[in-house]
Amino acid sequence: MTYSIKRVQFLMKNEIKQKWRVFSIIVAISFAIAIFYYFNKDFSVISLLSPSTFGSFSNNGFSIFTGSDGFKFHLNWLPQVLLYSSSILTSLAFSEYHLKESATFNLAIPATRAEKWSAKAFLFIVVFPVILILFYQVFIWLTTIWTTPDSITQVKVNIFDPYFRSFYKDVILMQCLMLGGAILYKKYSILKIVLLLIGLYMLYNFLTIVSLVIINEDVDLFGQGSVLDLFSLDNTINNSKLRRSNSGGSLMGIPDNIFMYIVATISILFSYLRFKEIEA
Amino acid sequence: MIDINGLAFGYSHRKDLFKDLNLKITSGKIHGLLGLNGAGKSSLLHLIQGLRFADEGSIKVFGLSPKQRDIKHLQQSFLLPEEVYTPDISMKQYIDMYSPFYPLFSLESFLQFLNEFELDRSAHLGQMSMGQKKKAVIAFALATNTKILLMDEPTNGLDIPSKKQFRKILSHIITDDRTFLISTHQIRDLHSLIDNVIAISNGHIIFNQSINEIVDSLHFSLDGKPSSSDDLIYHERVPGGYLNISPSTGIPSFEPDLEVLFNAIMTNNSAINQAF
Repeated sequence: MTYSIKRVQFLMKNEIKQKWRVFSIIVAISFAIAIFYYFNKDFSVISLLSPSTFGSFSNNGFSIFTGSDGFKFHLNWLPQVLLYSSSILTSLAFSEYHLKESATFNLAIPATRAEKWSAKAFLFIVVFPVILILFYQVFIWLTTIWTTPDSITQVKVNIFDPYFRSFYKDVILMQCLMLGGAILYKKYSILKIVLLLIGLYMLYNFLTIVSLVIINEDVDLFGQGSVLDLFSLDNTINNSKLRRSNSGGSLMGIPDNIFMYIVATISILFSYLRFKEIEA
Repeated sequence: MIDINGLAFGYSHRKDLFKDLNLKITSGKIHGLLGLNGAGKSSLLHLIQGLRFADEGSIKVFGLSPKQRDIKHLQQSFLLPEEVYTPDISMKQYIDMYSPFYPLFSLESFLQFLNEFELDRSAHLGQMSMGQKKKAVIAFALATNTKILLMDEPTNGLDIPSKKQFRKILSHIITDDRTFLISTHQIRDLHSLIDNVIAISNGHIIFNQSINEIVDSLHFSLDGKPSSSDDLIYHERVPGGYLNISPSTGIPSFEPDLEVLFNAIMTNNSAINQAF
């Protein structure tokens, strides 16, 4: 199979040149919303952070509230801005293939299907999230400069902190899912992907509960939290309640993220196979 | 160069657009693809370019299946659609972005074609009219120097001087190793260019003859009334009288009028083909 890195580079450059305006608007809106909340005195970050998160960032020397009266540092903005803006961008990854004229143009460009797809995948799963992370670092520097000198000494955030690593992983996994949805849905892809993921997650929770009941006789299907867990999107709460009701051991013996990894892998494969068959 | 065998294709499972369509297209010629609205001219071009996939049968371009979208195929075949798509970028950016994909692209030729179409090379594609955009893309398509150039209604949207320029350029750049397949309703715009007439109807190729064969086999005459000859295949009222088409008798004939010929093919196809 012919595969040219040079052509992939051209395809990536072309993608950026063609879509930079739309991408800039999406990123600007995401950061504008972040800034709005950043300087909003009434907005509380506490509700967004789970108890385990408090422990993590305390250990890493972060502080939520700074010395400045009007300034709050909301630690979860990074993953949120990253996740939302990256996901919106990725949901538009194949938008040109959903319109007849632009699909005709793009499919006829002399590059193999693998080259065209891998250019998209690398750009939307790796390059854009990395660019957004770097933007966020700049955003942090700028906002600390704009705030009072007192706050500068207290906000010690950098994008390489171990605290953020799990978020980066989640962002990348999410982009894998979005890439599959972007090729599947022509309109409102992000909405449909989110609904699909909610559906899949509910299915996963349902299967988890059913398997727990089958494997462990002492688990009550209608016990505390079980029915609610079916609809819960909070994996931590879901599993912790089930664990508690069964003397603390891990019932499934499967890492929490395995579901996401499996779905992300399937999604990536699906996006390539679907892309191979796309017509104008 | 292009070999289609037993092609079946349809947009729905209930109705086939093509049924057992067979066609061989050789190099060194400008082929005119004619057909009524909805006959499948654009679809056939899309199938040849690999933008649509056949339900049955095979299409081979340079011995390759277009469905694979092989790089060797795409580098040697360019499809100019009826409604061109251009990104919202400058002409210079367009060249920088897309010419590297075509190994035989000639910047010199492109600039020459732009000049002939009276387009400003520094213009922005997003600020052009549809006709100007089409001329820019035609200039690009011609400058790619691909062996196969598939054109879907290329003169639609062009002004009269541009149509003339288009004919002039096309007649100059055709070579023995290149093939141009032009789908058109505007047959009068291109009749002087076309070497081979292909007509498509009801899912089949119903006519496929070169201009030389048409001249040798059919006799076109302009009379004040429809011919009363038993051999008459078709007649049509045209400015100046009636154009009659009959089998060739060796008597010098009018230059074939491809528009009238197309109407004859559509109304009396069997008699037309019997003349060959």
